[in-house]
Amino acid sequence: MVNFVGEIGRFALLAGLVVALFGIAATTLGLTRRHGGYLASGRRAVTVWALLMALASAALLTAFLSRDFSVRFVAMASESTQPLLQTIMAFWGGHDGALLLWALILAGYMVVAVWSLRSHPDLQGPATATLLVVAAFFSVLLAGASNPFAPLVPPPPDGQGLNPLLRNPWMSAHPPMLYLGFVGMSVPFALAVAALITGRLDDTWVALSRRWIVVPWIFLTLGLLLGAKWSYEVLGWGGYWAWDPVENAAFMPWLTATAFLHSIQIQERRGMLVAWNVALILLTFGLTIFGTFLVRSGVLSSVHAFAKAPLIGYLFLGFLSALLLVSFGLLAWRWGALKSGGTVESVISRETAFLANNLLFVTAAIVVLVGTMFPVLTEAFRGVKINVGPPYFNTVMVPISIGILLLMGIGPLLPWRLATREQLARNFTLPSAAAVLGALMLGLLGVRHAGALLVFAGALFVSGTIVLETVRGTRVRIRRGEHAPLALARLFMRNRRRYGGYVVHFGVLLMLVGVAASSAFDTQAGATLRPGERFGVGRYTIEYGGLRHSELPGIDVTEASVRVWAGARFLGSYSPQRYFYRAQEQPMHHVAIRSSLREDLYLILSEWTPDGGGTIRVLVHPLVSWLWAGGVVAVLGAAFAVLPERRRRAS
Amino acid sequence: MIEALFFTVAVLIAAYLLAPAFQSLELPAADTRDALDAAGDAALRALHDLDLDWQTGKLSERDYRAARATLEAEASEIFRQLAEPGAGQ
Repeated sequence: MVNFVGEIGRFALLAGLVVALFGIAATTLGLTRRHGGYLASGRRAVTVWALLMALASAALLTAFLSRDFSVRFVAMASESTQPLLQTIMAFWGGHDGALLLWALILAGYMVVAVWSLRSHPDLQGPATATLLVVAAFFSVLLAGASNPFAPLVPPPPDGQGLNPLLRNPWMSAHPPMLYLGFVGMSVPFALAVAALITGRLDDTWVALSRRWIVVPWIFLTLGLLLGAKWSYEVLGWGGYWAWDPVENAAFMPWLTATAFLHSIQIQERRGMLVAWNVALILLTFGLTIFGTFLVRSGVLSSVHAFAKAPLIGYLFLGFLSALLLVSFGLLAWRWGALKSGGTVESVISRETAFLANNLLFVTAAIVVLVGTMFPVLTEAFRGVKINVGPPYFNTVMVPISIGILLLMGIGPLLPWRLATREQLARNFTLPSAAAVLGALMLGLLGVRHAGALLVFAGALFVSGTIVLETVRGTRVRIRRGEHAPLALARLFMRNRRRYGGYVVHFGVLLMLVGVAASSAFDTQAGATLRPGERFGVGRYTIEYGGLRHSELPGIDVTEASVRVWAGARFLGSYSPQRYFYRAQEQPMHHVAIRSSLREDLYLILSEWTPDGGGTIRVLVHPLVSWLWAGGVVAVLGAAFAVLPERRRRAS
Repeated sequence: MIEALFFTVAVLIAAYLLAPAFQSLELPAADTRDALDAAGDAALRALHDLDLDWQTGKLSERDYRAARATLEAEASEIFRQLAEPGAGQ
């Protein structure tokens, strides 16, 4: 039984490679010889490849659940005392299993994409071939250098266990969400390549690409949020974003995908920016592969990165180079046919706002790319690794973010083509007044941080525009005789893209407010205390009650007892902990967080003394929960916007 | 034993994959009707959005009339093409 599972896994991965290569050959022959039978064989290869990846995944899961330590990856990522959820999470807790999860997700996307393209046969063939090329690349890795079923002889009596950093419930969802986002970008990429090959960058391509990029965008957003939440709760440093290379790797494709979601509207409405939109899609997929290369190659160090694996790095780099060369080569080949159908008629129009938005998003992606790669570049050219760190990112990204925030308010209120002075006055007076008044009030209340003040004022401005749009739209329906709640509901339901977009904007502004407040106004303090002693942080009083030591399987637990007051009001008892994983000799924080809409109280047990004294670090982060809430709102808005709309009838 | 099982599965996969290659399946003709459909949907959405923009005060009467006339002409042309016998072939 034990060896049987490993054998099945190895067979499935090897067969997967053969099937993917066969599928590429069959589809290519079908396209060049215009042979429907070969194309059908190629489509069948997609189904079979998916089934083989599912079989390999089932085999690996079985190996984990049966504690089959004769499989090297199982021995590296799990141990016999590991709870069930952590054992399942171990599947993607290391490089090889994570790649298999990637392949499994790709398989799912491929089956759905190829099936859904049946009504677009001319796009279906080239898209199938492109997806199979991606599948073949991952099959090469999985069947060779990253085979999760590589045997371990002799099998050890127990495994090494999952990396303690990953033993957190957020990790059960963060990697799958991130991969659903990353891998999902393969489909718009395949559609773009197919459209370039066939020359069909028409409204069909626009509609398909938009739909196929929103879904991975939602997952990528969720993945980024869950990663931030994990960082906040597990790493014990009190922050949620550190401009770490791996965080940046996931953020860059998000930025370019977001740019595409805006600029595709200009193509849809005005026939402009066709080549730009294709380039954004190619770039987005390229950045997902580049991000994966960063995580797996060992070129940059990160708390999130997998172990250094140079061969994997070279393979990714080779694939990425070929990918960019071929796809941008196709774009250059079609350049003449991609001339835009329209022109910008006025600087004050929605097109211009979207163009500015695109420039900011792409600039942000370049800024993040340069900052991330700076150590590699300085090492290559000057022989010294120089990290730019958060000050560089914050200095450049804060103004860009404020610009994007303002455009979120400006863009939707501008008409296409041209806006007149009267329209500007009518649309922007109230939101601008709200922003100015809000900023003045905040200033009077003592807010002096210029960056935060700008973000708050910008958020008020955008909120004003959203409220104005919603109220005016609802009034239109009320005038037709609908009751207010029904009018509001129908306004949203019948204009899902527009109002779903506003919900996304509202979520993003909540996130930006959360980030600005928690970054600008956080306070922290620490003290080494004897049981019964107190110290103050902001409006809080912290009383240290002493230490308690206990044991969990493989873990020494040290727990501090802390009581918290806000003024005279007792808020409760909290227990920040430190775990020490004996096998891995690794300490881990288990922070205690008291979260409210107003602020988070973040308690860390830093150190302790043998006589029961403890060092407690306390951080107060205002409005952090707005970041999480905003993320959820943005994701729900995007999901609402992508729901199929009722088909409009021509009259 | 396991080798025999894998061999059998491999043969079954090969048979499944190769079967259509020996059939003379017709290659579906490049159909532009779906592009016209998509263009029609986009045109109707644009008209609907334009109406809402006007109703919510983002456009002057004159700009609205001009933009609507342009969009209506574009939409009419698309639906005229769609209505033609053999459209999209």
